[in-house]
Order: sequence, then C-alpha cells, then structure tokens
Amino acid sequence: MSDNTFLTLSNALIVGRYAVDTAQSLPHAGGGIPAYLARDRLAGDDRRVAIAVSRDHSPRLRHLKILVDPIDNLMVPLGYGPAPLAGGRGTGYFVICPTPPGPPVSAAMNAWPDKALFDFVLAPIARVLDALHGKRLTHRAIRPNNVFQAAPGQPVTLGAAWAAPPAMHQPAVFESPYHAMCHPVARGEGSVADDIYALGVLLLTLAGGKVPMAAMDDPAIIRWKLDLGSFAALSRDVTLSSSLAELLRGMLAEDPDHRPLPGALLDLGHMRARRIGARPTRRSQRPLMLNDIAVFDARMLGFALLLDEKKAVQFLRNGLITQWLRRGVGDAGMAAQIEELIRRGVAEPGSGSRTDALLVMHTINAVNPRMPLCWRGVALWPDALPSLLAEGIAANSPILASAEELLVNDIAGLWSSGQPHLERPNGPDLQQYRYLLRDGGPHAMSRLFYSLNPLLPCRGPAMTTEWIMDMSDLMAFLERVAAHADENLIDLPIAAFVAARADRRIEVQVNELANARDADSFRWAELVLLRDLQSKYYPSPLPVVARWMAKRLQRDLGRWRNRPRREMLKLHLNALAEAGFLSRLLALVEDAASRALDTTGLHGAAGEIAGIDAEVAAIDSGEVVRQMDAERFGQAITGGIGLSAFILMIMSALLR
Amino acid sequence: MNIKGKFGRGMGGLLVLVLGLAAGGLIALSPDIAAPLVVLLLPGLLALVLDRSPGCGMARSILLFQAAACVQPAMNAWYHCTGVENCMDNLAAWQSVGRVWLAGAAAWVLGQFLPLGLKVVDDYRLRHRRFTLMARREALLAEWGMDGDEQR
Repeated sequence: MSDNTFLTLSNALIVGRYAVDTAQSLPHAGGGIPAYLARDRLAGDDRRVAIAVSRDHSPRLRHLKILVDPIDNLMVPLGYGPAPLAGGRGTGYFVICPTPPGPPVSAAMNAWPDKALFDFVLAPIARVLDALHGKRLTHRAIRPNNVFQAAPGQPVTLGAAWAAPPAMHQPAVFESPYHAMCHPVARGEGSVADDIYALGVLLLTLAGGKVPMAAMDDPAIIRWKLDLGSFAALSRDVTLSSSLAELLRGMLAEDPDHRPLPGALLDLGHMRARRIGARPTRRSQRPLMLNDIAVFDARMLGFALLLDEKKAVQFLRNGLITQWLRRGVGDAGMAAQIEELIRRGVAEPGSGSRTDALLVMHTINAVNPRMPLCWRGVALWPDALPSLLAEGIAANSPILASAEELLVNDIAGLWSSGQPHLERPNGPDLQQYRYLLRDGGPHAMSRLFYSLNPLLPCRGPAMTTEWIMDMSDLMAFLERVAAHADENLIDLPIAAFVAARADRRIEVQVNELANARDADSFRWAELVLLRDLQSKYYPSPLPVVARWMAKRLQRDLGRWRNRPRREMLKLHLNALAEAGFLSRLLALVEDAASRALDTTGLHGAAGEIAGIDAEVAAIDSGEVVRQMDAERFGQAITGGIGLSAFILMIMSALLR
Repeated sequence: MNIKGKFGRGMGGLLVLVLGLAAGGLIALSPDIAAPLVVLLLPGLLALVLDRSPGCGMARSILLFQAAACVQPAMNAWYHCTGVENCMDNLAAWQSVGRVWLAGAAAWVLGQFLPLGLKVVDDYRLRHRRFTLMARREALLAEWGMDGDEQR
C-alpha cells in the first residue's frame, strides 16, 4: 500500500488524524516491538511511527493519558487507538509516536568517548527522566535498541515505552537483579531508580562498545549481579575512566535509594562529591548448596529459595538454612526470625496447601527485603498483577493459577504488609481486586482481567482478528456475526467482558445471565441484556441482531393463545426487526395489556365451549324425554281438536 | 312426574265422573236416546276402559271426536223420534254409526301419528342446533388452540 489509499478512510484514523499503514514496517523504530509507518493527516501527511500493542499485553494507560505534552528527546505518545490491518487481516491497536531521529544506537556499536556519553547520552536522557519523574512516571525501556541518534554528535532520543507492560522487553542485563528475576510482564512500574540503573547499564554498554554479559543466560546474569554486585559484575570486561566508573558505581548501586536522581546526573561535580558507601553484606566462608547454586550470603539465599520451592521448604523444615545462617553467616537474629516463621506456619494450618508457599515467600522477604514477591517459583511486583493475569489468560499457563491464588487470598496484601519501604502511590488497589473477586461470579478472573486491562480487547470466540474494547465495538461486532449465530450471541466469556466494561446496572444483568438456571432463563436474560446494551451504548439500528432476536422470540409468541392474534404479532415482530431496535421487539412480547386481553378471551372461549358441551350432552341424552313429550303434546293436540270440534258442533246445533 | 301422574289420574276420575253424570242425566231425561248413544259412543267407551295411560288421553280424544260427530244425530233424535225402538232405528242407523265410529277412528289415527310428526320435527330442529353448536365449538378450538384438557 505504497499509495495513500489507506489515508482516505476517515473511520480508520486514530484520534481522527493518524492513519496506520501496516504494510510498511519500521523494524527498528519500536525498540523491539513491531512498528509501522503512520501518517498525520493534519500535518501534511507527516511520517509517524505506529507501535503495535499485543492482544495479550496491556499498554501503559496511565502514561498514555498523562504524557500529552512533548518532551525533548523522548518519543511521547501522540495518540492511541485501534486501526485496520493491511489486507483485511482485522484490526490492531497502535500507539502513535514521533519518528525516531535516526537508527538505534545498537545498530552500530562502538566504544563511545566519555564526553560523548556525558553530553549526548547521559544529559538528554537524564533530562527526560527528570521530566518523567516530575510527572511521577517511569520509562522502564532504556536499552540500546530503544535509544536513537540522528548522527554522531547529536543528543540521543529515548524511544517509546508505552505499548507494552513496563520493562517487559528489557534484557535482564539492563534491569536490576530484583526486577530481572521477575516474569517479564511482572516487573512492575518500578521507580526512577530503576531507570537510572538501566541508564547506567546503557552508558556501560556504549563505553565498552558491547553489551556486557552478553553470553550469559538470565539466571546467570542475576546470580553474578547478586554475588558480585551489579557494578562489579557488569564492568568486569570493560575499561572505564575513573570519573565514569565513579558515576556508574552510584547509578548501579544495589540499594535503589543510593542511586542518584536524574537531576543530580546533570551536575557531575555534585555527583563526584556524593559518594554513598553501601554496607557490605555478611558472607559465609562455607557455601550452602541449594541444588546447583552455591549460596554465600542472604541475597543469593533469597534467589536460590525462589528457584526451587520444594528444596527450599525441605531445607527450611530440616533446619539446614537456619543452621547455616547461625554458623556460616553468623546472623543468629535472622535465623531466629526464620524459625519463628516456620513455627507459625506449622501452628497455623488454616492456610492449607499454601502453607509451604507462604513460608518460602515470608522467608525470602525476611532474608532479603529487596526481593520481589516470590510465589510458587514466580517473582513479581504486586503492581504488575494485572499484566500477570493477562499473560496467564493469554497463555493459559500455570501463571494464571498463581495469579488467581495471589488475588483470591490477597497474598500481595500479606507480602506488602512486611514491605513498608515499597509504598507506591500509583500502585494498583489490592482491595479493589478483592472486591471484584467477591462479586464477580463464576467468571471473576475474566472480569478482573478486563477491568484491570481496560485497553485489551475481548477474547471471545471469533474475535481473534477484532479489537473489541467497549460496548459500542461489541454491538457492532454482534451485528456482523448475528446472521450466522446459532443459539447464543453472548456467551459467558463475552458476558464477563460486558460486566467488566459496562456500568453497574448492566453488571447486575450479567450476574442474572450467569446465574440462569435453565436455557430459557438464560435466553431471556441474554435478550434483555442485548436490549439494554443497545439502549445505553449503541443508538444506531441493529437489524441483523434484531432479526436474530425475532427468531428467538418466536417461542414467546406462543404465550398468546389466540391464533389469529399470534399470527398478527408474528408479522408485527418481523416488521419491527427490520427497523433494528431491540427494545421495541421485547416491548411487543412483554405487552401485559395484550396478554391480559388474550387470557380473558381464552377464559371466555373455554366457558363458551363448556356451555356448548353441556347443551350437546343434553340433546344426546334427552331422546326418551322428548319422545314422551311428543306423545303428550300429540294427544293433547288431538284432544284439543276433538274438544274444539265438539264445541263447534254444539254451538252450531244450538244456534241453528 | 309423580304430581303429573296424580293429576292425570284425577283428570281421568273427573272425566269418568262427568261422563257418568252426563250419562245418568241423559238416561233420566231421555232413556230412549241414551241407549242408541251408547251404541254410537261404544268405541270411545271401550277405549276409556282399556286406556291405561295417565289422563286417558287417547280415550278422551276418541270420545271427544265421537261426541262431536254425535251432536247432529242426537239433536235430530231429540226432536224427531220417540221410543227406544224408533230412536234406535233413527240413531243407530249404519250411516250414523259409521260416521261416529269413523270420527273415533280418526281420533285414534290422529292420536297415533301426531306425536310421531311432532317428534320428527323436534329431531330435525335439534339436529340442526347440534350441528351449529359443534361448528362453533370447532371454530373456538381452532382459534384458541385448546386441547381436551383445556376444554374441561
């Protein structure tokens, strides 16, 4: 589609101005995420980048809403929304950003001189991070393929980080070990300190001209960082100037509170004066072998406990870990704390099958408070639960069971009660999760998924190429598929979507649908729900849905016993269906006055038939009586004739 | 039915009484006319004896028909004959006897066929009424779609 025909479809524009051409891919513009050419119709068809949003991973809605003003050297979002895919392959969802000024710095990796690093990388990105920090936002996607430079000697531009969950596409080396060990979608929003860390790794990468620890897998990178400390692990093979090394030591500090803020990075003189010494961790001379991990300190112990929960429980219950903490590390206080946790876990069996997982979670939390929430081998930050839930539902993986367990039992609440230093003002409301779970009915997890990921589409059957985000989209979709629909248009998975995205009144109706005890009550609840959805969200006619509904309402016309009236209603129903307004169809079927008239007529007819039956029975059984009556009347008449003749004869004789 | 039966028996008794008084009065006033009149009314009198129906309807009809036929001969005999023999010749002539007995026979025939005719007419009327009712019933059933249970 090199011609601009795609620009002519006004209904295919995002926020009324951006047209996406998915036939023209921009492979390097999205920082590893698929990106396409977009054009701005209001700016003389200027080129833009449309970064694709995955159906399974929610974009960062808060960033999309807050970042409305341009920020120098940052690809801020210009708009977002659904747009058709090329070749009629359905609909996709895109975040529109300015085009990057040039290729990513990963395209040609050279060793950068310190001055270029300070002037063209550190300074512009620090300013960007400072601006984001001022809006209480993080970037979480600072990596070489998402940092662009027009030409050498030009400041770099930070790419977009809005189309996927935070840090989802970050290589482990660019994340602190406590985020790198998390599931990619569960790394959470983090803080500005995490962006500073990633910036530090970027500087180190550019200074050395290569990505550090590139040959290692993720667990090895995390173990090295935990064992040696991030700076030491990352800078082993890189020759750094003393000033850069000093800067990076601060930026890659293990404690996020020890990392400088973006504003401080702009004043390197201040940075040199600011040197915070981290307290060295206690190390054991003798390692504790947990599977293949040689644990020398509490930091590594926490990671080892995460990797193998079964072994962790075994070692905790047989006392090996507390013994090692006392004798090897010399930390009797921590050992006593863990023994108390074990004792409490045994004494309080109410948690059932979760006892072991809770023990491991609390133990990891105790040995290293910087560790994320570790639950059944999955590490996550609680604010990433919506993304984790989406990932679990999309992949239908055991992660879904873990996410459900975390939400239903408020494990994140239990965990965060021991983490006062992790107060995150913009984190998700865990109590709201509990509320939704309590009231959500049989598809509570689906409702949660849709509620917590408001930009992700409905996952109903036959919707794999559609991007149905709200009720209006859903009604338009139903209008397209109703012609081929069988029994139901709204099944329970779609109902969960409706309950999550519609208002409270509609949610109550969805509950009725979900609690329907038989097929007929389900059918009726579905029709009422469709009617209310159209009334509230889709004022246009829906003739195909109406025809489908008219078919489903035929059996309700059977409640009218008068056949001519029923036939008339049928014709009327079909005529109303052509108009496409569902409320009129249901109003016709629900007409109480007409039903009462019909019932009255039925009773009248039954009474009349009973009268006829009685009269016919009397006719059939009155033969003998009628015979006797005929004889009596016949004789009476004969007698009357005789008497009349007698009187006439006497009169005639007397009057002669 | 019981009341009608009593009424019929009462009427029959009254008729016998009236006839007895009439006969007694006639015998007392004119015994020469009474004897031939008995001959003329003999079929009716016999029917009165033999009729066991309540009210003796058939006998009553025969007697009334015969009485009507006897009026003219009895008036002639009253003015023109004297003595039993003369009145017998005058009243009990075959022409008179034949006419009066024929009137009795006509009463009997009428009493037999008139109920039959009435029954035939009534049957026709009821058959038509039944047909109309059944047609209406079928129309109602078709209009309201009722089955046997609902009809009840």
